[in-house]
Amino acid sequence: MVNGRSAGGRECPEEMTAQSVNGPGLVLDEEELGRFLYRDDHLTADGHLVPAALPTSDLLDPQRACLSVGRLGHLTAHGICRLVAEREQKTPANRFGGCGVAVTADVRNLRTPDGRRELCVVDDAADGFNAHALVRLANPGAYRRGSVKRLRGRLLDLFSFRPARALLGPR
Amino acid sequence: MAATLVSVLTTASLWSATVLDGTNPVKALTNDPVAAPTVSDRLSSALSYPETTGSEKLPAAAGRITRLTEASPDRKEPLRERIRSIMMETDDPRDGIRPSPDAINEALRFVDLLPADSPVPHVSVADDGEVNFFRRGHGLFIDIGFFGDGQIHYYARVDALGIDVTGSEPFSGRSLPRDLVIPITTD
Repeated sequence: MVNGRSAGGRECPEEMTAQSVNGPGLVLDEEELGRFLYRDDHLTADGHLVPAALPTSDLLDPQRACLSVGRLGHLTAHGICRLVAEREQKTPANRFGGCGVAVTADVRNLRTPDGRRELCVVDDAADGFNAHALVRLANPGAYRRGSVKRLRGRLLDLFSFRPARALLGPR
Repeated sequence: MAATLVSVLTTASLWSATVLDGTNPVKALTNDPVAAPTVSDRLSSALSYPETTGSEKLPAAAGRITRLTEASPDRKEPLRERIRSIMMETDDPRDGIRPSPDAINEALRFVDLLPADSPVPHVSVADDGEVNFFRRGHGLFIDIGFFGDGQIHYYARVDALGIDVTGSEPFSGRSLPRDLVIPITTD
């Protein structure tokens, strides 16, 4: 079993393909996925992610069709600082607050009532961001703006907040 | 004169009865059997704006309807302020699509429709331009969004009541989808 019990299958064959020989390779079930948070209003007062942190258009839009996440196990504090600095330089209003963190297997194990995969987690190693991964709908045609919110709610339950100091401190 | 006064008072009391206990006064007078309206029916009716202009007179019970929909300055004004502040952000060179003026307007109209004593949701903006209202609690999850496309997009779950609804419906700012009436008033 190269990649745990959850990866691949009929719905997500690309989970078994690494995007770059220079990247960390396939996304493993036990890996933590980090959704970088740059807005204060993407957290509630008691430190929970809100739905707006996971835009539905990122899942539904054919041009994007994915949520961008970092593979925390392959990111050093220095690497996170570099990514954050690039973002904050490009968009000065952004302030890195931390990450929403979920375990890959939990995301892969989200199922439709008839047992099919809801989401795929695939490697997306790219220049400058080797530890990049994508979360995308396994069956994009099955969702609309309203219905994808239910899935977003289930996905949100998998994410817990990890503040910037915990990510950038000694590891 | 006296007959007219009695007529007016009777009409007024019937309207009051409609709002207070949900029975249809006309059906009650004619003894016509009618299914009792559900809590959802009653709240949905109360949460709809009457189709009147400002100069038109409202029925006697309108005050009761207004009491449910009337703004509560202490609870709703911070929400409105927050949404208005989003408009100010639109000039920021952030990543992503900023909420459109239509999305902001729809969000403000949604706040107008919130019952004064309903729990206050968390307002946030997604990178795709959605103005989002969110609330969660034990067995409760509400996610309502506006993109400025003339629709309200929602998902609501209230485990204790067996409610699990999702949808997209045209939004005029005058009423809420029936599906949402109970969730948004559930504490």
